[in-house]
Amino acid sequence: MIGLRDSVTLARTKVRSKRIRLLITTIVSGLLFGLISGGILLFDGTAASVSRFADQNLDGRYLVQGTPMLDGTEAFPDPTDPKVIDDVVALHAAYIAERKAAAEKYGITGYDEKTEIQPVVDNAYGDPNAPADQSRMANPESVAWKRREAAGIAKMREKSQSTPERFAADSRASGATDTYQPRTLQHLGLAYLKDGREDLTRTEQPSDAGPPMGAEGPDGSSISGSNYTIMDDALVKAFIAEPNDARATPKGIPVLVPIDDLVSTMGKQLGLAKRPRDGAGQVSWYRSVRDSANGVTFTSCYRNSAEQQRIEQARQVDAEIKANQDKPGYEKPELVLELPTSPCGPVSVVSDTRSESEKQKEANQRAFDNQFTPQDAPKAELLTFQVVGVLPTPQSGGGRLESVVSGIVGTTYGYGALIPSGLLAELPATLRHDDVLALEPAANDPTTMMYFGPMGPEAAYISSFPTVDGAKAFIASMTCDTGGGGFLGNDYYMECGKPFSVGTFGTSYLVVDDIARGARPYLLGLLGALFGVATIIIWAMMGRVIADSRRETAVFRAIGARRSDITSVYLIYSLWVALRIAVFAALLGGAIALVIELLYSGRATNAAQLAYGVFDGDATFHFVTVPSLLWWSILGGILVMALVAITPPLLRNIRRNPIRDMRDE
Amino acid sequence: MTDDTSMPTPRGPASVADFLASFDGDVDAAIAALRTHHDRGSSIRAALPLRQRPRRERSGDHIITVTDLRKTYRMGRQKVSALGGVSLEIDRGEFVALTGASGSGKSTLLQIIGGLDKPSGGTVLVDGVDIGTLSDAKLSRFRNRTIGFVFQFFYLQPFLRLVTNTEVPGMFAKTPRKQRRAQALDLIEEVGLSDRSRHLPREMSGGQMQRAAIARALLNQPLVLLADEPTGNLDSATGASIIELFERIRDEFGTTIVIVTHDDDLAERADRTIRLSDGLVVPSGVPA
Repeated sequence: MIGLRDSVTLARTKVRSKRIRLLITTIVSGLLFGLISGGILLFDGTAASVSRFADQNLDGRYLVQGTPMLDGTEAFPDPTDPKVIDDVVALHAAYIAERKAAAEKYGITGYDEKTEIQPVVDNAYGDPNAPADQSRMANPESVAWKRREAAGIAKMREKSQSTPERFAADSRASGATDTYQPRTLQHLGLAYLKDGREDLTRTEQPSDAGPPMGAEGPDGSSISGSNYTIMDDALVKAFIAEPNDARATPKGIPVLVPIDDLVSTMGKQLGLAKRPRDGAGQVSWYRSVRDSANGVTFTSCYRNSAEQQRIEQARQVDAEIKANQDKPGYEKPELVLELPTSPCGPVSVVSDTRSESEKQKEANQRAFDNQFTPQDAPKAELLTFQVVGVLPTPQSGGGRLESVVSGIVGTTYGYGALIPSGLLAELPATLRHDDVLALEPAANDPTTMMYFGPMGPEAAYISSFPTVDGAKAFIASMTCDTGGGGFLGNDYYMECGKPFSVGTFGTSYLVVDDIARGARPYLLGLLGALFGVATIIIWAMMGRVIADSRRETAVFRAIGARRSDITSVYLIYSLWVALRIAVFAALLGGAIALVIELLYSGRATNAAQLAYGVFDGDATFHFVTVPSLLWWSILGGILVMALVAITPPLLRNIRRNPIRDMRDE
Repeated sequence: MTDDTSMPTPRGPASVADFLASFDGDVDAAIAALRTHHDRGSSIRAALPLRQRPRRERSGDHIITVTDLRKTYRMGRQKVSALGGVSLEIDRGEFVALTGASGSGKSTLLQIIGGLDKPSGGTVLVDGVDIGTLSDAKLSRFRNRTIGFVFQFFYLQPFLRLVTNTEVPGMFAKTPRKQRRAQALDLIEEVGLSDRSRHLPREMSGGQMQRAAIARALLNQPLVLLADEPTGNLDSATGASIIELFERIRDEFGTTIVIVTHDDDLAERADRTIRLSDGLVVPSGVPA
């Protein structure tokens, strides 16, 4: 067969003929393939950058959070259910019996059972034409109902499969390496001491039965709203700032505060700037806030419900005295309480002129109440927190690019201020306030359950997986088949036997992964369509060129070329043409990706750094990455496709009688 | 002959001079020649010197033997016979002209002898080889090594310089590059195009391109040079020079040359003329 160099020599003569047609084909198909090439580079580059940021954020771990899904049919029954009504009536009778016995025990005179909330009331929402026995309902405000509810919750918890142990075991079966259990502290109802002063006029009263309503606080921040969660250091280490002089000696409970909360709560005090509107300024703003707040302390006050009641009592007495002290004949109350004179100080007794019998009567009443609503002794404690880091929060400002990046990759802790458990454990006991932090909300209480779920403040479990696939597999194994349905209630989970509702935690890696994988078929489809168009163009051009070369083929055959010689020349020709298109496409795609990189890499880096809290090292968001196998495949595909394109016309050419083509001339 | 102004305008003074110089007193022959010249307009004859040497005697060493060669084409439902049983022999080193009217089968005969076309019947022996029995690869090798083709339209590669164009048959023969380059340059010099070796075909005249095509045909030192209307696309003077070149090639290399031509005058320059009519060889002595 003809030598390669001679094949190239003869193929080049083909390249030099039909130049305009070849040029147009190269440009048009090169543009299409260039778009494909650029699209792949950008897609792969973006996916790689997101993946890199996610890895740096959590050291390459992928977290799954699970919340228990329990059967609430017993805990939250239908109040119109006759059986439930019967239960409540029976419970009410027992309650009244207890009350009477206790009243007798504590010498409470004048106890009237009619003052109790009735267990059954008219069903205001029922059918007005229904028979009388069908128009009543159990009263959810009654003690009997609440007792039944508490019993139901207790039973539900007892039967529950949604235990931390089950979550840990199931997730480990899917490859999880660690399981964590964040613990929320919302039930403590800590009052933030703004500028060191306590606002005793707060209307939100914490209670042992549950957190204050409006947990975000008056300024919407987690600090004033007492929205704290203890979380393992491993989950939040990306946001813990390097220790500075202010943190040389720990001064309080370490806490990571959402940046917006920090600015709204202590912005003026620390001179923190507000969030800038532009994307580029956000990172420097974050760094500035983090550096300014690192080591800063603030205080919050814990008062239990008994102490809160005394505060309220003191305020009422104080108000009464102020309102009446100038009135003739006004006599102060026998028990006068003084509001705390120091931040988080105790309520003190100014005067108590009650007789011993009155004091005894009050003590008896307290004992009577405690029997039905247990209450601790009044307690107030000042807690000092020390900021050890700042949590980025999804930005609403910035440009479209920043919003998109933030929206897709933003971190989603959703737990307010975070207390790293490791740093907390290192604190001296005097700063740790174990007695307060260990307090539990009232067990089996519907209000508690409403806030924390049926399993209380430790009602979320987090498992760490070394791979996205492991995390996805676990999520899939814990997810009920919705059959295309929407919201799934607890009952549905019970029916399909899945004890947890699971989802990603921390970064939205799964979203990114799903986008990357989910978009891939569409991307490939689009690329396939472009590839098809480009292929048709190249096929048409190549086919025409080869067909136009019949006479030349005939001449070559006449002067002694074998079929293999002709084939070799045209293969080289088609590879030459394809190579030009491939190089053009590669350069064009590279140029497109490079332009995007130059224009947007900086802004995307800022957005990603904020979203992931990764600011150090080479935390840069690149749109271009090392070309992937797919990219090389596309370029290789051009060569293959060109070879395929010339095959049919070439086979026809070399099989033809050369004389026929020479005669046709 | 008495009224020069009534004579057709000759191609150039040199041709007229040549014609007059060759006038030997035979008035009838001169008038017949002039009539022929008049009838054919741009006939090559006016440009050709009359034969300067006698035809060569045949050696009897047949390099080509054609026996009862038949070729039938199918045109739609009809069969057209291009060759109806041609038999002939051509000697080694002989310069033969195949003549005949259009459609007489002369080009078909040439193509079958050159292995470009397959006969419907009969045999062709070239240098003792029955080319009808050769495989496609061997037939290619036969065309490459034994045969040299010259076409009416030259068929040079438009984007190859003359020297590279000349080398193309050597490429298919896998002749070492240096060797074939030297051969090509020698042949280019032989055909008088030394100063054009670096030129592209479009930079050359028709005659130069045909000389280049002849050089290309000779690269692999073929035993037989087949030329199909080699002067058909050239003016008379250039055509004459091409014929001279063929003669010189025959003389210098001993190459057997078979040309197809319409032109009886050109055929006169050959050692032998074989005339075909309706796919058959016209016996010598039979008037055209």
